[in-house]
Amino acid sequence: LTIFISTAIIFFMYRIKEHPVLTNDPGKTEWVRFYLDGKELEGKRGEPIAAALMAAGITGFRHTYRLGEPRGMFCGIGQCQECSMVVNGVPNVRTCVTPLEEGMKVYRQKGRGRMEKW
Amino acid sequence: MVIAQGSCELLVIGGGPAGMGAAIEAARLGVKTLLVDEASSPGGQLYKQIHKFFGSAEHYSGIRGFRIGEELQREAVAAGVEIQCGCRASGVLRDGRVLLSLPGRAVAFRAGRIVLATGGRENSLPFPGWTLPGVMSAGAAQTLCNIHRVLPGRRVMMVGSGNVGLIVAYQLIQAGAEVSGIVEIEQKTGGYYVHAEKLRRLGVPFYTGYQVTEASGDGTLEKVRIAPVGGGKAMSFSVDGLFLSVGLTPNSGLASMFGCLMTYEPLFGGFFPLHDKRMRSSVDFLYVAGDAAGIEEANSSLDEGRLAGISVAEDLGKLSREEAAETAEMVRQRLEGLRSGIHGRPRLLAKRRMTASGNEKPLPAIEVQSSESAALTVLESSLKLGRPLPFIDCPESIPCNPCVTSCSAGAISMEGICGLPVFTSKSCTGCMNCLPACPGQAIIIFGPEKENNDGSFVRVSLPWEQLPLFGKGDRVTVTDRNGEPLGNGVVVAFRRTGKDDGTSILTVKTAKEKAHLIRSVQKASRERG
Repeated sequence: LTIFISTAIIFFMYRIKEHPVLTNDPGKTEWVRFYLDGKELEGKRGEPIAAALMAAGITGFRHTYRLGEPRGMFCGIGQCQECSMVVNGVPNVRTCVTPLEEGMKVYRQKGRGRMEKW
Repeated sequence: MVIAQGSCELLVIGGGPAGMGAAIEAARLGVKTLLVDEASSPGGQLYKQIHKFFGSAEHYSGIRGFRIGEELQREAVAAGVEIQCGCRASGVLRDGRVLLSLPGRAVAFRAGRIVLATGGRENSLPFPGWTLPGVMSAGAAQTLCNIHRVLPGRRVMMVGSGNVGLIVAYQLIQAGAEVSGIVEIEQKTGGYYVHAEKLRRLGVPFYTGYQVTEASGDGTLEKVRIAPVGGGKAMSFSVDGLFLSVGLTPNSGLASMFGCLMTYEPLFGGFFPLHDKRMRSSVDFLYVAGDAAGIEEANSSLDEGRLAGISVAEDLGKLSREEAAETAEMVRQRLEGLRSGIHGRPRLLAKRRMTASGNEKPLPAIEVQSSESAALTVLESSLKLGRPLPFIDCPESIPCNPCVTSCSAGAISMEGICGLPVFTSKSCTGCMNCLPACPGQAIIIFGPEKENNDGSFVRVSLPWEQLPLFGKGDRVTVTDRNGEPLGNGVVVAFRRTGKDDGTSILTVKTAKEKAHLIRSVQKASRERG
């Protein structure tokens, strides 16, 4: 139960709940489940995968090829490739511009990534 | 579907303010127009701008950016522009056709005329640790915060004090983050005085003459070190977000592919296609507008887009030469007006140099100072007259006039769009419409306190766009322009202006003594009354 509560707290900590200018949330919110490295998380359907991860307090998205350095979201508009992850078996998916869907299996990418089946 | 037909009179690439301006103007003049944008909806970066815009009514001033995006989209649809989203212009074929990529297919598209409104992209800044998760561009932070409603960090720092840095930092505070400081390598802040002032009032420190020396952390950003340029004592901050706003570069890839002559101007962010007064490039069917034709603001992009649209209509014979010259001249003068203030003048001269139409000297630099004595004068005359009067803390010539248009009594006037507001107390009715209208939150209204007053209290009305929202009777700590506490105040009125306007008028009753120094209240100081 403690784990559940602490997960819930972390999960909601980065979501902006009140705002002085943006009063109404755009569109209807539909919560969906997805998995990061096998761990279950929740996010809004249609928001970028990267936004759902940042909302859960996760900033590290991949490790570089040569030095294994951590990388996370950087440009937020699909240009820099820093947020590349393995999504449903496909590597190098730009998570900042890929909409979240129910049941997505997201993995932190190591190096250049590899197709599961080709 | 125009795309399926494979050709069209005008193709506009990019659906930001410049592309929209061009498409709307051309379509209204009878040009069959297709606008493509790679995002899922047009509007460019307008949708993440939640602040009120500067400029004049033609530039939708005083309206928040995301609403301008919606308005432009409506106008485009009404004018008959066909909009294709999720469509990327990925290249140019040798025969002049543009390669348009859509999900799952690509089309080689022939257009009679092409307007390139591809915008700009953010620059980056390398320093040890700049690749750590948690370090990101200011634009990414703004997207997360304003569109996806996710905080990119709880305690954050901003690198760069141009308008982008200042605006995003303020919006992060609105969303609930704590800004530990603004780091600026120059000796003074780069953006508008009023934007910087909004942050100062909230107590955000400015580290001018400093640079980031290192970002560190275990797997994610935890610490930032900054040090004065040229040596000195370094400072360390515990933060989980570091955002870079260090300028933009025009997206000129397509223009190069078309073989446009390029030019270089640091003021406009680097290389961009050479163009004339009417936005024609060196390639005869190609026009440029907006940030792709040199980095500026959304307002000037919109007007440059309109100019390009008019030129296209003229070159296609939809408009006579005289008519086109007349309409274009009107837009061009407005555009030059936007570039005539203290921040815009160097850009005006650079554009004129490029289009070879004059060679004037730059304006001398003016040292801008907040005028505490001017505030005192306003306070005293308001007490003498027994009615509220506005103090306009706007000493910089920036292109903006909503205060003038909001005043139905005509008490505020201005010479040109970049003039300083001049207030005459005689016709002021004390309606307070100017206070929320000012996009810079630079208007503060001083007035007498008429209830329970032995003469030692006054009323101060402030613009408020933060949380918490106050209620009558709340006790607050009032602060000066640096966010330093000045004393206590009691909220006597809290009025939310207009539907969804977002700016509230916070009126506090406070001691007369230092009232003219009051610029804000402390966010966390509220005691419910």
